[in-house]
Amino acid sequence: MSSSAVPGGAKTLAKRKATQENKLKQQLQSQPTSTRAAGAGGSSSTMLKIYTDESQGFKIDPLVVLVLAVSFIFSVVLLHVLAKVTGKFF
Amino acid sequence: MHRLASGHNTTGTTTGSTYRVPVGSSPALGSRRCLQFCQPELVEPTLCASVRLLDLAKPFVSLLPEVEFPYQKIGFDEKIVYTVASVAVYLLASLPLSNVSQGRLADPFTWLRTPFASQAGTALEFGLLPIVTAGFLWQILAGLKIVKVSFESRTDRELFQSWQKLTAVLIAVVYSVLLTFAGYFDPVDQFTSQESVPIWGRLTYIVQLSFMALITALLVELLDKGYGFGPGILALSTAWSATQFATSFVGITTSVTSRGWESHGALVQLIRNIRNKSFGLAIYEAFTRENLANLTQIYIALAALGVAIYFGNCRVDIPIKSAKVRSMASVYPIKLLYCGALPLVFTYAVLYNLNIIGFAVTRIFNTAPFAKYIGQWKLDEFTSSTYNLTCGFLYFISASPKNISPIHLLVRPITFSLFTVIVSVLFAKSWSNISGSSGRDLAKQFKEQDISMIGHRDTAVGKELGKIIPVAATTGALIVAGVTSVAEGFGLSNGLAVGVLIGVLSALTLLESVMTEFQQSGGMGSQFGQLFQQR
Repeated sequence: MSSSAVPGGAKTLAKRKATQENKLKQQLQSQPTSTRAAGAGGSSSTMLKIYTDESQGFKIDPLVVLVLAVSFIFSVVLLHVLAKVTGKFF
Repeated sequence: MHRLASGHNTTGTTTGSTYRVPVGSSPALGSRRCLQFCQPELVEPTLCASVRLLDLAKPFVSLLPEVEFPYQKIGFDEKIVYTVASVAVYLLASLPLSNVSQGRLADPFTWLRTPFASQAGTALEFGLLPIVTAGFLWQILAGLKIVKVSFESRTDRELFQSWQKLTAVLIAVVYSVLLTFAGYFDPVDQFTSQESVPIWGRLTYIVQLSFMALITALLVELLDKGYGFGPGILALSTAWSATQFATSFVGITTSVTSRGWESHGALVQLIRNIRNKSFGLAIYEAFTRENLANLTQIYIALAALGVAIYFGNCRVDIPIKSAKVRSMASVYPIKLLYCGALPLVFTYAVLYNLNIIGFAVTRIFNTAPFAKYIGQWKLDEFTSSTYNLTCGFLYFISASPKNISPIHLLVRPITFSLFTVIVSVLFAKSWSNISGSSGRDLAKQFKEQDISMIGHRDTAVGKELGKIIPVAATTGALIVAGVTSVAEGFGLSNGLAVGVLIGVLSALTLLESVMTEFQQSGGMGSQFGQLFQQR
């Protein structure tokens, strides 16, 4: 009674198991392997685009990035000037 | 959703956005729910229970600065301004590191630098290399499922991205420590080497280079997140190779050499020579000088540029039509260079990393017997501003022409070409799958946007594209790598040709995204948009 109760699908239990496993395997294979495949932008065939998600870190404005970069440049220049003024390495 | 749509457009841009149906409408959702209901064991219990490598980034996430997404869509003009500004800031950073005398530094990596926008002895000592390496490394690890990342979950994607940024900075730290202790930053001439840099000075190299890597990552992120155009890596690399090529060709700046003042530009130097020296000697010198760019390099680079543009236009047009709107037919182009410049970028990233590690290891363990098998570097006696690879494993996969033994000279171009071609082709073969642009992924996109291939059923689209894409990817990589091995293999070009090649291919990719943006936004109200309309 119980073995023939489930309608549809393969008849024997072994075949049922095989289809089940195949299905799982296929699902595992069709899992996305990149952010683009998951539909969230990112690298494509011709581009390496790696920062496309917003994670929880402290968020900064793009202008802050530019200012940070320029201030870094100035700090390196300042180090040069200091080295020249003191005539030593520090 | 808008952002995704713009990133996703397939062909004729307008088709992409107009056909779009709200995703997640009832039938799809219903079927998925049923699936989960029927098979509750789908979620693997082990995956949730054990600590994954990905989760180890969690403590660092709050420390890493993160560019926030734009609140509203950035206009065409603003994008151009942001792109130019970040590129300009990046180029400005090519100023000498503090405590390093740039003129007295010998550089072993000259032939690898142009594609990665790096310059010896400056804050751009590593350029884009840490970011490119981290990006490729994580994407490949995830793509080959060595590291399990479920990209559908948002948290996993965020952790994945944090890892990429963290790895980039870590690579910069490790490499700067290695190079510092290998004595790379020490001046090479005998007179000044007595005054050795104290430990504090050495520490500043590491701090400066690590901080610069973080800033570069942020600049790339700024461009990636839609404030500017295109992938940031390609934008910066393109700008750098463009400036390098222009400087090598017509640069009017001069510097003192053993032969007196010389211009940086090969053409300018030719004119200078003609005015000062006999005609034959002038021409000979303009083609053969080694310390700065010469005309041979320029011609090789120009040839590479032409070949890249020619093959960049080769494509297969696949006829497509809308499944919804009748008589809306178009073509979907699949390019021969399906992976663009990326196979080359990857190959050169591998080479650059190997060379940095090899150089540092052989310098630190210079007495060990294995050191000479890794690679031997010799100071160039004419300019004393470069180290040339002369022997060892790294010599055979390099473009260095400096060796006395004729067997070495004959073998090296062959092994170099083989290495370049094999690595590029292998990379291209798996990259279309890894990056989510294989035939199956494209078919999925087509389905989402209600596009169907003319003459094929919907179920066969993936298979049909799968016939074309791997062939295009590998052939394209073969062509690009072949051009590189011809242009660079003889060691005459010193990295300029490959830089220009990668630059042009990246520029074509960038231009695509600029034009897409222009067409989608209309570009009517923008100032820069008028540039594109005058035709």
